[in-house]
Amino acid sequence: MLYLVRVFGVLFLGCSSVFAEMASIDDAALSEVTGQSGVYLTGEISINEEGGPLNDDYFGSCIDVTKVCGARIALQTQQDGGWFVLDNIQGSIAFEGLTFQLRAINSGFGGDGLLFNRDVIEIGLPETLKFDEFQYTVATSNSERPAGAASTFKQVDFMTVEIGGEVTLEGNLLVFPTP
Amino acid sequence: MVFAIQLRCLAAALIAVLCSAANAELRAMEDEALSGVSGQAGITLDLEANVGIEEAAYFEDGNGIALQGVRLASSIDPDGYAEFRMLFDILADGSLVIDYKSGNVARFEIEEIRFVDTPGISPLSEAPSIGGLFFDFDIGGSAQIRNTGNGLIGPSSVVGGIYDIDFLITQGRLGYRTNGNEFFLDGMSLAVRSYGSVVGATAAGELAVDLPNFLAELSVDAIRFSDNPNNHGVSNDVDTGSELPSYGSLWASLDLTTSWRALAAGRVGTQGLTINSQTTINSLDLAWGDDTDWGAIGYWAGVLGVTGQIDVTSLTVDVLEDPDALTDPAKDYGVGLALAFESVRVGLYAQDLVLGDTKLDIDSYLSGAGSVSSIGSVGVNLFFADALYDGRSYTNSFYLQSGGNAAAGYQGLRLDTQMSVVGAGNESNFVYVDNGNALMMSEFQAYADGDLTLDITAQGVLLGTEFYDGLRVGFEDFAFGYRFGGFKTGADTGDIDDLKSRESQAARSIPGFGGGLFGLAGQPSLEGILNGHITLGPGGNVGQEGITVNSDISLTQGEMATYLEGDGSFRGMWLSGLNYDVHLRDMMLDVTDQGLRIYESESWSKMDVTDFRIGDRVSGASFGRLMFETYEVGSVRTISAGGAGQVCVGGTGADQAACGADGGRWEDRGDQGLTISSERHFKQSIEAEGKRNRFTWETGRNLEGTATPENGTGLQLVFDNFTTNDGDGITDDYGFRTDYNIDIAQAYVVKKTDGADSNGVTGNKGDVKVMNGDGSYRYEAPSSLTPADLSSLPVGIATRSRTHFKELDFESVRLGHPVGGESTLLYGLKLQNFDVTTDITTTPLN
Repeated sequence: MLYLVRVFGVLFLGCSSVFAEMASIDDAALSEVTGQSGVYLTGEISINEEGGPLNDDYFGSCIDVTKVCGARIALQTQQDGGWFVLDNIQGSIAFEGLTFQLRAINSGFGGDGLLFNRDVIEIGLPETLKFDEFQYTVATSNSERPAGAASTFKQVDFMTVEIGGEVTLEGNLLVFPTP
Repeated sequence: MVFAIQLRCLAAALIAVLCSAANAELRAMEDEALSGVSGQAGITLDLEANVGIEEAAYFEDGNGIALQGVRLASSIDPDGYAEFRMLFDILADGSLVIDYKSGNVARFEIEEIRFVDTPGISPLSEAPSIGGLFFDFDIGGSAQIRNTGNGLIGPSSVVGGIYDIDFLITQGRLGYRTNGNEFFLDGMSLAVRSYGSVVGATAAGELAVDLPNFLAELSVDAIRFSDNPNNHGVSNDVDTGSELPSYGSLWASLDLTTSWRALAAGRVGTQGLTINSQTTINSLDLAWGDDTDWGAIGYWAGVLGVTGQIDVTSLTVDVLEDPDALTDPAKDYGVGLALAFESVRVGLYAQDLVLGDTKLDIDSYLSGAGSVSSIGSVGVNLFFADALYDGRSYTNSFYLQSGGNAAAGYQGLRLDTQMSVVGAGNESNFVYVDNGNALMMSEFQAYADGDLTLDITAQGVLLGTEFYDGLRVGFEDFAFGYRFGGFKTGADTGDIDDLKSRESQAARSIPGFGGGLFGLAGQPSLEGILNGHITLGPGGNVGQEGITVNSDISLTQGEMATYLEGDGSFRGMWLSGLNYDVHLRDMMLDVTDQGLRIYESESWSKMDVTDFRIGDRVSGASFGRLMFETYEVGSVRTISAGGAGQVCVGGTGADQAACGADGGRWEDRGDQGLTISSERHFKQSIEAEGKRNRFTWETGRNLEGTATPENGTGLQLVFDNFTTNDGDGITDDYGFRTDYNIDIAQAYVVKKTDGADSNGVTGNKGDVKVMNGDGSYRYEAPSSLTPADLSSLPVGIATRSRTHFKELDFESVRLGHPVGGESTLLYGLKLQNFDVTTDITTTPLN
């Protein structure tokens, strides 16, 4: 269950950006920070580097160029409607220096900090994110899953995004809980 | 204190005294003993005993504990005799030697253990009872009372004797019986040797027991359970002839030195006992075997090479009325045996925690050859003493009472418990050492306050309560809490206290422990009130032996932290207002060659968090309410020794050169560590039974932002009925699989800014953090790193996880509001063909 907590925790962080006020913190605001602790994270996340667990008429090993070896997300926004698809998701992201800690916000932000006067989550962005053959395809489909529906399965791939190299990310991401 | 004995019958005892040296050779004597033999004839005594005592009671301050139905007889026939032969001999130096040997397997039995508040008046037969105990044994050994004259003995100036004790018990059974059900150690052998033991009295009037050289080895062929009232101390069911089911085997080898002092008078009244003791564990090996032949077949889990110290200060023993009688009469369970102590300090360190080795492997390893599958070394330091926890006062006291669970029958055991662990000054902590790198989970504080019950139960419903086969541990309004102040890491110096001076870092949940009973495990802080039970039955999913767990646990009024800052502020990520229900059916534990395997036949749970707070657990800002519900069938977890081993972080490559060529960094995390693998099968909901997989997030509730928001009044985002399948929407053999490799390992930490860090240590952006021998650190430019620097990088928690599944299927994602109604955002969400690997190391942030 806690894995799901973490999964949904990530979703929360993503969703909460809708509510969160993201802003760079200047030195004056930083001076108000108290009781820092936190952790420093380094590592990588890789998705389907050699393929996924499915091996059928659609999915397969990355060695087999006739098969899709990445992950697939399909979602249906209308009942009995078609499917919006992110397909063939694969690649890796490596980082060093991602930090995580809590930060007391009790001033700044045009006076809102004093009113808030609570802790927020601060994610210190790593200087560099290294993308290695990261890619995904945006598509639409008439079927929730390609396997087992080969005769009727149709999908239109609109575009494939490929990312390689290094991306510079500086500053901090603050997540404000505001239920 | 008063002892009262009521003899129902003293059965025929035939004592034959034969003054003949010819009968003296009962067993081989040690060389040391033989050296004192000078050819004197001894006295041989043959004893056939069938002794029954209706009641033997111990009274103090007007309350008593009564042992009823005490009997010594043959193990196979209650009317038969227990047979013994004893040889008394006087050695040339004046020492008295008593050799003894059983003529058959004897049974010592206590049918009922009850508490009484009036001397001379026995309780009714249906009055609450702790239950019965029995002990079968075939014993052979010797006891030598040294002739040390009438002077004082040892540094404590004890008046008494010095005893050399040596015995072996075979064909043993040690059992506990309640309401016709039995839990017992079968096929038990116990070898004990304790030379130089001192028993006597000190000048201060203390009873002194010193065991300077205590050695013992215990072997138990099978830990058995019986739910047939016709069975009593038998290995096979008397009605069916079938072998009784077993939890597995047990083995322990112990070498300790201990010293005890007992004074008259307990904590309350003028009578009772007060005990102080110091015990040094020179060596302890302890293991549980599953389907083993004690050789190359079957696998074991255990701790090897345990050393440490246990000191008890002012342990008092009284027989007292239930203290709840005055404060909460509904919880008054009558007179009980009251144990309390001023303090207990425990410091234990296990060289190896092994999982999945044969007994042959373990024996070879302990004899200096071969290796074992070791997670690494573990240490635990606990200091039990009176303390405050969040301003509430707790002590250490245990009232052992009769009756157990009220619905299970009149027999059983109840432990009215209050416990306090002190840790604010880091007196209490846990240490884990993995290939020379150490993690201390420091400043551990804990309390417990409530009732525990212990019953041996059989499958069935009694008085509306469902019971399961096995040893049932019940929780009745059992409040508890614990928290860690932070984590400390560093290279292992051989002295775990060295870690105490290391900088404290944030405490966080240990990955891989999610789901089932483990949904609450591995967290930096947790408290709440437990109700329910855990029943441990015999038999596993692999082979014949193992442990089968059935459980229904409810935690209410809980608070759980998944992350705590390491600055002592206890600010963190809090699940406040936590209510958690978990139900396990036939969760089976086995030890296999892969490690500890846990198979869950069926489990469902609901975690309802009123506020997911950031910062302070009470006043911190909240994300709102979270609710997680899971329903799984046939899920499997395996906990194995060994972590990630050699990994390439940030690239790919099978060796260091290939990894470097791909831009990665090669890390060797050693052969120790921990791997937790899970295969979880999320099933279609059964709404009528409250079994479902659902995640709910609720915000905007009435009274939102106060301490009492009204759940169910806000806007809910619901991810409903998520299930796993094999990508076809039909079968579900693959499930949702996760493999966690957890190591304590060195990590590459790069400075993010120029200048001084939060500790005033200066360096340039891009410099690498290098640890000094004294625990301080410095920054070095990457180009100037030496091999010594690279082997002195900061130690952190390295977690490599691989999550892979064929399909995770969400039936719908919808928004709902009690007034505004419900709308569906997504009519389906399918995640397919995922294989995600993360490799993350966490170290302190400076």
